[in-house]
Amino acid sequence: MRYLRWVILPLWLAALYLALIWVPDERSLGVSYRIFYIHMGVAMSALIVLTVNFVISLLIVFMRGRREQLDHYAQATAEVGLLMTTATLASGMLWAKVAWGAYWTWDPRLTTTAILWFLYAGYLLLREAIDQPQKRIVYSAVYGLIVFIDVPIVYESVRWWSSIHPVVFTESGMNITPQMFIAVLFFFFAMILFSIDLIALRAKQQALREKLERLREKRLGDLGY
Amino acid sequence: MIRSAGWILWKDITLELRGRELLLPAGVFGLVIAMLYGFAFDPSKSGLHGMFPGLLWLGIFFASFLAVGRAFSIEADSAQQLLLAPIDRGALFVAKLALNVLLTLVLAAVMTPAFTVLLQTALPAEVGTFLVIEALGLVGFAAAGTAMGALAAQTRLRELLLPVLLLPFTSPLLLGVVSATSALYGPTPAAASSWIGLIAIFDVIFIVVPALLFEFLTEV
Amino acid sequence: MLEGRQLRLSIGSRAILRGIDVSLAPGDCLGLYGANGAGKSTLLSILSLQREPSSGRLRMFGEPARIDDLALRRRLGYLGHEPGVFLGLTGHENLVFYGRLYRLDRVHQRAEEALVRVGLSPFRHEAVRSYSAGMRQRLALARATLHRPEILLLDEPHQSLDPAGADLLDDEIREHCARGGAVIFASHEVDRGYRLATRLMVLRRGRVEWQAEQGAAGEDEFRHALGVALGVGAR
Repeated sequence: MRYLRWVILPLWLAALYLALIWVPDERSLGVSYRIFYIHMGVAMSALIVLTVNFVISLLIVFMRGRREQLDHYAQATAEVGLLMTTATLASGMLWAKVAWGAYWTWDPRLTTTAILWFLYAGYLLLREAIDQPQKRIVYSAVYGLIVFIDVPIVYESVRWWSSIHPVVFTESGMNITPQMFIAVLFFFFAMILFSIDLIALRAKQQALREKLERLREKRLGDLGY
Repeated sequence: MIRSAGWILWKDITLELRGRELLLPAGVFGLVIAMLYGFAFDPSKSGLHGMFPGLLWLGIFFASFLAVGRAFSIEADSAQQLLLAPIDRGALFVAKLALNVLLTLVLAAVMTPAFTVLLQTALPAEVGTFLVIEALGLVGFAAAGTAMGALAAQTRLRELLLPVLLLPFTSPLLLGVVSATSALYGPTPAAASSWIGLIAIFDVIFIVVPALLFEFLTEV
Repeated sequence: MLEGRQLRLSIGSRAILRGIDVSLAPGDCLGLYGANGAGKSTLLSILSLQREPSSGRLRMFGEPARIDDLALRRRLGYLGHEPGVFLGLTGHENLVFYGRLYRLDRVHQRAEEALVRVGLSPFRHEAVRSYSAGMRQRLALARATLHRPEILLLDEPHQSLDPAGADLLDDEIREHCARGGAVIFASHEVDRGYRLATRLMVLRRGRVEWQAEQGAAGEDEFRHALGVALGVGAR
């Protein structure tokens, strides 16, 4: 994990080069469409990270062992997922202003993504508000299972309902040129590796915090408090 | 389990009939909303009529919210004792769901006529369908409210957290009930049926999923 | 009847209980003392199956105690800081409601008997809202013992009771122990508790600071240990 960071930085730089310089301008949107690469990268990362959160929640609810460790990852994935969703919304809004003329429209994709943001914000608030650790682990996992309902809906929203949001992956293949795809791929890998790094860091931090508390406990106990 | 749920429901209804601690504030709040709408939007303008379904449902949701949020909190000081009793937590869930359905139905029964009068509009011609939409919509709201209320009651913030947990979930429901109601006012009332389907799906999901997961909340 | 080994509980970074051994045999009446925050209520909440310890073993009636064991809950009676009665219901209705949840037969008769026992019979059809704090506590006692529990867990039961009510409670406890039941109570009432308990335990910061069988330790020794735990007698 320690060496992951050395991969992420060059990957980011390469992705930026590809997206900002290497790929030609788009015909109608001009230079502004380049935000698409960032947007696509963070959006895919958000959905993947939140799916991982769902899997962890499943494990916590239905399997008994190692709940504490799993919970560290549940929190980390929810936080990073929310961060990526925020980045998705922010980049999308900037692009929408240029492409559609407004920061926000009540398009199905945008609406479901906004709901997604609120659901996971609620998830983190719920965690925050439960004091008992065992209770927090199980309750937030149960909530995590319920809120995940929206993730496939976000993904499918552009396919189910008439949406003005562009679709990249369709049944007949991809809607972008091979050159664009390469840049998307680079950005995606840069973002997903960055997410993984953040998650690992956050989970480790949680584990260390708990270890510190145990040590503090033990020390206080030794001192007779 | 059904028997215990029945007794808890009996207890809550008795308390409510004597104390009127849930319906009275929520009902008055609902009427205040109608009045404020009247001030904020000029009801004599025709544009308001297109907004009526949205205004009505938002009003009902916000007022119900007050009642639904309290359903678990009325146990706050004695929940300890209630949970010590040898009852399934499923029984508690069923009892609170039934209570919440009753509360929201009563609220809607008061608020719907008040809204139509104060906002100077009329109920759609197909009253039967309209009542079906109301009933299904309220069951869905009560089900989601019970599930999220059970979670919120376990937190330090209690009802304060409920809006954050509950309202995002109810957005598809709101979309469903408002669209269905609007369709009834429109040229093709039959269009409501597909929205009613969406509401029904929401109801089923929010009764079945929490009922399945409630089991796991008993462990801790 | 009850045996807890090395019960620990931490909430976040705070350790509330730091390894407590506790056991109850039929006829035992264990008095739990200590300063606020020493862990008395927390220990009682674990023993009454309201929460699980972070670690440690808890057995009741010869079997591991599981928090979701409904049959086991029927054999416990708990009285906490809150009376746990509904203000909008009458005393009688409160007892009938709890009797129903415990699936008791002849609930009305049992409720009447319990109300007579705690001296609330004249007020049985009045809403609990009109009861004084002491009356509510008496009703709570009737509620906690309505289903004839074998183990009675009482968290500061003397609180808000007048002397007559406290005597009534003590009689109830003695009778319960004489019948072969077990009682564990937390209290700040030194004299009353000393006379009542068959065993005394003083907690300090989540540990057992001192304990003794009644008779093995004199009242002075108990007072001294309690003083140390409370930080008043310590030099």
